[in-house]
Amino acid sequence: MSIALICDTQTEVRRLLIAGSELAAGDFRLLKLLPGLKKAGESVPVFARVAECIEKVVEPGQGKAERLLDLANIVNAIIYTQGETSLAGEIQDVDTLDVNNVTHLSYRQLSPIIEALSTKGSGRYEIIKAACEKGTCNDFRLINPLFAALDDGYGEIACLAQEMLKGYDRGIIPLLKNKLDLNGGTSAVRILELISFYDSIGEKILYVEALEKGSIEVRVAAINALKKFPECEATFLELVSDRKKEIREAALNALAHFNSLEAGNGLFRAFKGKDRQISMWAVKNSKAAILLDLLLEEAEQVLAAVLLIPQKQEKIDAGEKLPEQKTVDYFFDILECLEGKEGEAVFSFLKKCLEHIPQLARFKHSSNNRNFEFASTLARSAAEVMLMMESDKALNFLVSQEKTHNNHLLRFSFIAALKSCSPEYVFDNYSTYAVDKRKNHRQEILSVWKGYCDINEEEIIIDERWLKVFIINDEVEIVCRFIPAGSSTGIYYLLKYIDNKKNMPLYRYEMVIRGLVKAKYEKISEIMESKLKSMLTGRKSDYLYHYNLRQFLRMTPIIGADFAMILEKAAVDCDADTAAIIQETIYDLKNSQ
Amino acid sequence: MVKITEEFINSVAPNQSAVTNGLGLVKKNSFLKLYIAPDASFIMGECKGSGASNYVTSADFVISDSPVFRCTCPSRQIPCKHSIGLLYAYFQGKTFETAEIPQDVLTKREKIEKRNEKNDVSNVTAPKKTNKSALKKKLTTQLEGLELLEKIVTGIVQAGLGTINAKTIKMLEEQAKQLGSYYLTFPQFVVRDFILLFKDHENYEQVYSRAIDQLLMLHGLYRHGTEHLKKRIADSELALATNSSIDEQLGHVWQLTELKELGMVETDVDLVQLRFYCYSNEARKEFIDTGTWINLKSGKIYESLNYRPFKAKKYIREDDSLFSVLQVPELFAYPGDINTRVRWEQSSLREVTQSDRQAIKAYGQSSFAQVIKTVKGQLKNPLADKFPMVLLTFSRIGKIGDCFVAEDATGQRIVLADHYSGMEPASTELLAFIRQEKLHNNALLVGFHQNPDTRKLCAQPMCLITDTEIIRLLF
Repeated sequence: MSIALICDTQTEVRRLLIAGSELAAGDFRLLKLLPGLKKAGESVPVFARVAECIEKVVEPGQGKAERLLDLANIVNAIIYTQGETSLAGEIQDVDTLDVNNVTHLSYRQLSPIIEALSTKGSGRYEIIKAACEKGTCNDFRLINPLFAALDDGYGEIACLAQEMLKGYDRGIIPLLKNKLDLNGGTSAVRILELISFYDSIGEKILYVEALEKGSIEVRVAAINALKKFPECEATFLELVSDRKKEIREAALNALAHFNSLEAGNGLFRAFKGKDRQISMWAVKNSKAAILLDLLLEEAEQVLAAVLLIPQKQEKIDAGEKLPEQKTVDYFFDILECLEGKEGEAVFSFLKKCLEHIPQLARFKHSSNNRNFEFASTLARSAAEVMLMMESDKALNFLVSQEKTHNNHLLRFSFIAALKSCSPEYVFDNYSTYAVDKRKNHRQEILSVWKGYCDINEEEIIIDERWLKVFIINDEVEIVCRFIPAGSSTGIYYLLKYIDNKKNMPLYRYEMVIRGLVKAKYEKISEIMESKLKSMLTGRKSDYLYHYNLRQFLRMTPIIGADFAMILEKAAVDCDADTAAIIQETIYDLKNSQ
Repeated sequence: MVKITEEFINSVAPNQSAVTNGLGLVKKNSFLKLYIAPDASFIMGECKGSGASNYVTSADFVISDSPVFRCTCPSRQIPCKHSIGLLYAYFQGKTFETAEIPQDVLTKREKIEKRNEKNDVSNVTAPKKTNKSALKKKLTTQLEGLELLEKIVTGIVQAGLGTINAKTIKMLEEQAKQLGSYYLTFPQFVVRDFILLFKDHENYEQVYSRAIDQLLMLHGLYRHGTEHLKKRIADSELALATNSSIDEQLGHVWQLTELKELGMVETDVDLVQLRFYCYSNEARKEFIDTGTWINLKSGKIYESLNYRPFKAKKYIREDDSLFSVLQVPELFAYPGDINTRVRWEQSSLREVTQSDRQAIKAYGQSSFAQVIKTVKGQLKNPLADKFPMVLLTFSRIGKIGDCFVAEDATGQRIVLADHYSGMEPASTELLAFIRQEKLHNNALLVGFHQNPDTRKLCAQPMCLITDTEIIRLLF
């Protein structure tokens, strides 16, 4: 059967159906097909039928639409029966992945996740996150949507998709390689990171190719992946002079992993040159011995230069652009790079710096963007670096500076004492500053204690006499953090605080409750109950009512499951919404038993 | 009582949010009282709600496989989240006090029993009497409607698809509305589908081929419909056709009793679902939950359809994938093509066993040439389903270039590709995520489709069956 003739007829019928059956009369293209069809019809009757239908369509008269539809119908039926089915050629095995993530997730469970991963709009992150938490995200049917989500404009979703793809096994690597577009953007970076996650060593050739041919983002990711290969040091040394800043920065960071002369020299060159800012992380974190020597040599020279700056003014204010300011800023950077470095040479240099406190205390950094909360001057910066050395020698030296330069070094000396001396020694020598008339002394000491409030997990033994000092200063936060068990003074102070500050925010209320728990105060349940009652009888029209109630209930696990009974009583008189919120907490409290 | 499992709860829940919310109620300890009948055929709970008084919710397992849910809450969802919560409370082993079944429930049980006896299709002895003159009148109206349909179709063909614009679309919408007055709901949906093709696409060139297919379908409906209706009117019994789906396509809604009368029912059938998907059909303004099932006794592939109007989506149960064997005492089959539509009233669940999987695999058709012939025979009919599902037994699945191909033992091949119109989510590429050894000598459920532009007949893979696993490539 000559299917070509039928296909041609179908094309012409399609044309006429689009143009309109009125134009079919005498259509020369159809007429042209007639002889061939008639001839074929001699051996295959269906061709004769098609020819017959064409004749009816092209002849003038009424009812053309029906005739054209009949013709289309018969042609379509033939096309359907003659449709091409097979494919010639040698069959190759499918490059299947060695993953086994077949699950029985149903349509209702799976389709919302697929939709969230492959569409746009709000509310998607929560669906995906919930799926991750439930563990319903490890199905092979999700692999393609996850790849699509790597490019999602909603960055958190893209990150989540990357994390979810880490849940499959190494068998996924061929697919990752297949999906990797070296000229791509962030999604390509994520894919390269995934390849490196699954096989950090085995794919070196790919990383090298990505470094040579990839987009800037891909090249940066490739450098990150290649830093594990010692033989790549020379490549990184070349790349530190690349035209692109991102590449230079990545190469410098990679060099921080190498402990060689060349790497050290390369980093120091960059630090001294135009790339100082982008090389600081690498210089700070590099373990190359030569680098420390070079840095200290440079530091000595810059210190000398700083000390030579004439004392025209009392202080050089931040932001002032004196010619010497560049030197000062440079010295700040050197000190920052010395953070975490160890050794006698570093200690000696810092000690030398601290011998020039009055001179160095005059200088501040010109940039307001840098965070120098406690290291605002060169003197304080040097003291901070010494404190971070954490060696006995460094700490003892700082402790010895007490009374010498209290205006500049009290904070560092106090911290050093806390780390190296007995609690009694610390109280006897430093507590007086906390009740000193001079505000800056008080602040220096209290700010250190406040710093410990933020780090709850760090256990520190303190002299109990400090509690009175904290109460004198009305520092409730510090009292709550360091209140000893059974301290009646502390409990009295906290109860009074609750009485006086009835409208304090709930997070402060929680802090005080935690303080009372620490003090092993026995009647916390009563306090909480009275607070709950006041909340429930308070302004219900307040739009924050339920929010605040939830916040309050969130702290109930602090006092334990016994509070569930109090909540049950309270829930009886509440409206349905409030009761539901309370019931949820009761359920959690009881189940936490 | 039936063993309450999570899958059972999922199978009776109307949707996923009912499941989540029901579970949430248990978590919130909202059930104040929980009762169970001494014979465990009835459970009841008192649940806190937003109203002043508590809701009383119950599940009556007097017919163990199809419980009756009742609740005093105002929700129109049955079962509501409270009933689902009650099941979860039972599933999680909460303490239920023993109590007698309330009198009103016992009365309702009696009523149901009586009604079931009355309605039970298995008890039907005498055929249901129909008002023949009314039916004849309806058929005559449908005939008139088909004339209108043909007028619409020839009007479009006369003017040409190229002339369709906003004005003609508006006119066609009006005409489609009129078809509803002639009891021609299915042709009405096809016309609406046709209109939507032009409304949804700016580049008409992309939709002409599909539009022509639909015109031919409407023309076929006119031709076959007119012939069939005339035949029925001439018949003194006004008998329905049992060898084709023409009556359904003309708007007839099959009753189970009718199917029973015509003998289109099978007893004690075990079904395994191999595919599930939910379409959103704008023309019908309905969601269509479609399931593809295999009969473990005969190997026949069936289709189940659950229509949920957009407006009532909250109140009608949303079907879901099912991974157990569905044991159906009576399976009603509609007249149709390769995949007949089936329905059932009652069912129970059991685990799929190794022998079930082996049986399914054995039902796969091993001669691709024969399959292609049958499929083509269906596709050439303008009124037939253009996406027939077939279970194939393949000797290997491989690739030729970028194309996936299934090959039978004789070397006959079928090209595997996703549906050209994207009506189903992509699944072919997922074959690459299946272990190599499973791509040899197993069974594959595929949906055949022919692209009118390329004229190539391809098959979209849906589900792979091995001796040990049933791997759904879709849902």
